[in-house]
Amino acid sequence: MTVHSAGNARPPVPAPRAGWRGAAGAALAAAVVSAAAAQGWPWAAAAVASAALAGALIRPRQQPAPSAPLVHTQASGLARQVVPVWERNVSSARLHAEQSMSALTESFGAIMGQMDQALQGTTAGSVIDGETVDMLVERHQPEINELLATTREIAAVKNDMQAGVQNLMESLVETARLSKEVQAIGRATHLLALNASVEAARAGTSGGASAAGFAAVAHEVRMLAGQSRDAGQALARHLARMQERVHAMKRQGDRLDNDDDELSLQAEQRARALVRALLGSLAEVSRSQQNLHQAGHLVQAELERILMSLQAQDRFSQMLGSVTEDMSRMHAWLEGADDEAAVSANKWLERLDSTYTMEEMRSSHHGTAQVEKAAEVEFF
Amino acid sequence: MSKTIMVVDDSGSFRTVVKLALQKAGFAVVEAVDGKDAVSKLSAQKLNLIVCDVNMPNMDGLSFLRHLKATAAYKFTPVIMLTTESQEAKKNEGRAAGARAWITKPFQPSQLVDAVTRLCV
Repeated sequence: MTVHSAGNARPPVPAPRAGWRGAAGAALAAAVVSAAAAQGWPWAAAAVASAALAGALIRPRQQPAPSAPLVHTQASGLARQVVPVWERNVSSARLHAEQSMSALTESFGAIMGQMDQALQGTTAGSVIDGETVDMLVERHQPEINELLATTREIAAVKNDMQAGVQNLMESLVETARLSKEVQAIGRATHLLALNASVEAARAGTSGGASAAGFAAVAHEVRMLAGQSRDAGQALARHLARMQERVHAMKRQGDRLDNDDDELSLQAEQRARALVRALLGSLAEVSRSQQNLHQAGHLVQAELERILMSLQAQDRFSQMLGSVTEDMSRMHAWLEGADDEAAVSANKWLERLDSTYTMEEMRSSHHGTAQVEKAAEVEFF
Repeated sequence: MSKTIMVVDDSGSFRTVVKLALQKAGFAVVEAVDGKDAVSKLSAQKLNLIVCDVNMPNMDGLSFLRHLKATAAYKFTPVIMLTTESQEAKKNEGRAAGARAWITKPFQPSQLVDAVTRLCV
């Protein structure tokens, strides 16, 4: 921006040196520009505007020189109007940045909290490998045996039943023998009755009452013998049917007996295979859990580094706060307020320097190199 | 029962960062936006330690610290100054006012937690 005097009749004069106001304006612009360089985008407009104001206060030498009082009047008027606008824009940017950073920090905090909860549900645990699976299968043999206990109990009951069937068969054989004896007794009794009848008939020809009685007894004995024989035959037939059934049960039991050992072996092998498969799946879950646990710790470490970086907002805010406060002081002085530091640029800049709370700001103010320092903790 | 720490700082995002670091370590946290707000909240609960910024509006951190040490109930409550101020003059002022530690921002969460754990009553 160039400044022209009204009624441009006087010859060009050497340009006067820029006064202290120009230096103050340039330093203010420098402070804003350095903040812009450190923090980026919100400050490009402020940097351009401050450079324009500095240019207005520090005229290029080759321009025709208007009168000094006119320049000061115009610059003061310009600053009175422009500085408050800068101040409001800077304050607004500071507020928006603070709000955005607060929301971002809260979000990261929520993520960290969720990560903590997720990791609490997992433990590093120990990896289960193949050898461990074999060892665990052997260690859990009692449980496998318990699993197979029902099968073994059924086999034992079956064996008991087979033993019972065998005993039954032996009893049937004995009973059949007794049945035959009964039949034999029946036949012998029948012969005895026939002999008694013959003797009764012989005694009847001799005459006498005893002959009739003897004949009656012989008849009854013969009847009894017949019944006995019939019962024995019926018993024999019944026993024969029972023996056939028991023989059939025994044949079936003998066949199952041969399969029983095979079934027990298969059941045990299947149980062991099932336990091994379960332990293998458990090993996979354990490895995944361990990986998740490690990944979770890495993410947590990254989140903590991010939270540390988010602290930059506080420094950013302090830098801008210092600049806006000085803008306010400048504006107040331009409006006519007394200000002891306004006697010279050096005084003004000294005061500005004294308000700084960080080495970064002092380095920017003086244009010196800044040494990055690690966080310090000092105990008193 | 977890210990209670008061965090005093005019930056909301910074209070959140400090709060997250302390809560993760198992501390309960009470926030205040400046020294004046902190004074108004002192009587509401028992405090085991205070973490305080220096440069704040209304009542700065060193003024709050002096007020604290002049109050019988909080005379022995440890205070850690957590601030961007790194000049020795300010540190000496803090030490004279009764601060127990001075941590320069930005801070490592683990450093703050270690200091709080060490000084907490």
